[in-house]
Amino acid sequence: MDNLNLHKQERSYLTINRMVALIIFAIVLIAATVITYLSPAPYWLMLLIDGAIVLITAAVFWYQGVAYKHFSYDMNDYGLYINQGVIWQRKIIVPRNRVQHTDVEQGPLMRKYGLAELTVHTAGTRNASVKLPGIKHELAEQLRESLAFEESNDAV
Amino acid sequence: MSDFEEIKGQGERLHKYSPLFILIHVALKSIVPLAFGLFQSKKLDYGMYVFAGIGVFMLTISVLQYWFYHYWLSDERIEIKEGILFKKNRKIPYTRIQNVNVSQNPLERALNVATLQLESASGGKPEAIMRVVSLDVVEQIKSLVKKASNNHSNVQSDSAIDNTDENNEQTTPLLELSTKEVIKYGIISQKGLFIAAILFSFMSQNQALVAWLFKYLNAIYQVPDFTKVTLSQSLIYVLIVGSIIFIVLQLLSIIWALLKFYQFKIEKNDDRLHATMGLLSKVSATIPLKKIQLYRISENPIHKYFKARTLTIETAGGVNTDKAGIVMRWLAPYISQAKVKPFIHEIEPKIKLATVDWQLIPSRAWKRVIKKSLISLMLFSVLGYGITFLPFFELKKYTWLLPLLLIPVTFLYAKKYVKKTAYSIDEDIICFKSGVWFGKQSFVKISKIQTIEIQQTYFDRRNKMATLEIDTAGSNPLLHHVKIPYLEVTDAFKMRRFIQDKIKTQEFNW
Repeated sequence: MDNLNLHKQERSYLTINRMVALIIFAIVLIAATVITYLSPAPYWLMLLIDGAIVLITAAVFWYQGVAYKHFSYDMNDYGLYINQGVIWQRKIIVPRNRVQHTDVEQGPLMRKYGLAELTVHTAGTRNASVKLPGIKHELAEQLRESLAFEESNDAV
Repeated sequence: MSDFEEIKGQGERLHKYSPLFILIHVALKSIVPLAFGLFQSKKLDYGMYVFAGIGVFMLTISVLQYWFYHYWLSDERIEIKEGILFKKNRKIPYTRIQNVNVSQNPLERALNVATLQLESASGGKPEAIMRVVSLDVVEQIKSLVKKASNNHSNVQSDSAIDNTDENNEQTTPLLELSTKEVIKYGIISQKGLFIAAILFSFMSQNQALVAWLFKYLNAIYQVPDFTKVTLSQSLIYVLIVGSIIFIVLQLLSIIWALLKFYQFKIEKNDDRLHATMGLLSKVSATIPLKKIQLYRISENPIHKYFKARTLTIETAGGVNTDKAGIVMRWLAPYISQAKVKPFIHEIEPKIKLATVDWQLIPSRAWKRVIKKSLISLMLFSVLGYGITFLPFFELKKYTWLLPLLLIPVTFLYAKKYVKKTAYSIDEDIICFKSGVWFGKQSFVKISKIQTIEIQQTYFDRRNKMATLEIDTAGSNPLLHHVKIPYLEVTDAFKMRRFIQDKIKTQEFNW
């Protein structure tokens, strides 16, 4: 197999994902509680629904953790490697000289933690854009630079 | 150089018949919804007014479009200005034009004009569509593009000098289809089913039309009352109706094939293919060989009966949407089995069909294939069992056992699957074939590979297996491509390593 020096995403990326999930589920929880409280539904039904939501939240948290564990990437002479997926695992290689252009994106939460998402575009179809989220913004720029250097050599 | 100066003067207009064809084009695009609206509106007068209003509007638009469309042909490029409210100005250097596609419908042919479509490598929509220019202009643009591309390639490689220009005009076509072969292809394609499905869905949405049709049909032929006929009578009836439907489907398929592929001819000029075809609408398309991303050979049971194959390609740009206009997908709709090898060799000598070293997927994969089919069969029978409890289905209680009758079939299928699924890889080409009843083979040049992906499901990991998938430009995700399942993990990674080493030294050049 390949001698890859696989890196993990930033830990804070997992934190952000969990925060987003928490906010969404908190809203759902409050909405569900209010609706069941106002409706003539029995008290135990409210508890049941709330309990289910809490359980789902816990499951999502757990899944996010596992997904984070299963995500790794590397960039070497050949190009960008991305390994991801929990049950269906995918290992993608984007060769350097197949990169058409790159994007670095930052959402508001990501900016707070100095994170960014690197998107690498190819001329392909199914993998026309390969995403690498949850890395340091400087690193994203750096990776982008190193790929862009290759781009200028391309003679399309 | 004068190249960068603003082009002066009024430029050329499209052909004077142009508004007519723009109108027809716009009308055809919106005629279906219009007819729909007309049929469904209860007050016909009101519908007529709307119809007439839209008609006048479209007529005005087409005249205006013609009026505002100008083009200039300089030595190096074509410049086009168009647009009524939103002006568009395009400069396309001839060297960037990959395809010059010409199509002519019967009316265009009668008036000696053609629709011209200029395509660049960028893909997606064509760079420019010139709806109706005279045939002289077609020839002029074609020769300008050809001259430019010849000059361009001479700069790149000196070896191209000796086989440029006129000496390649009289090449014998690589393939010509006789009418008989086109008819055979129609039967192979079974496109009639597809057309019937479209007609059917159109009918089911339009109750008024169906009622009207039934009224007329009933006047011609009285449908018997099924509650009163005997079993044998109804059997005969089903047989007759069945064979009529069968014949109609075959006829539809043949008509489709004739309309599309009548007098299909493909020839090779230097580094590009030139194809012409069509009965009513003549289409002529050029495909630069280097733009081809994937070659595909298909065979279904009818192919086998006729001892023939169908060869298709995928090209960069234009994923066969309507907007992309004319997209060449057929290298050879119908080609006899014996001719496939020399034909492919003529087009892409790197695909050595005669010596492809097919590697079968590991034979232990058959267990996984059979497990998959057994699970789906079981799901079906559980579903069948569930249905017997529903009040509105009067099924016998043993219905759920029916899917289990297919178990021997799944066994045969799995055994055949591992014998028919194979791959091969050499310095230049990666090949993959699969399909138990509908055999497909895909060939991709390694220099055309965009990304490499290894996939593992939970079951793959348990069996130490993996799927290797290759992505190319302009690939249609629904069609057969290089996606090799049930590989040994080590083989998958070995292949990936091999491909990435190759790609590292090969620039992608559309």
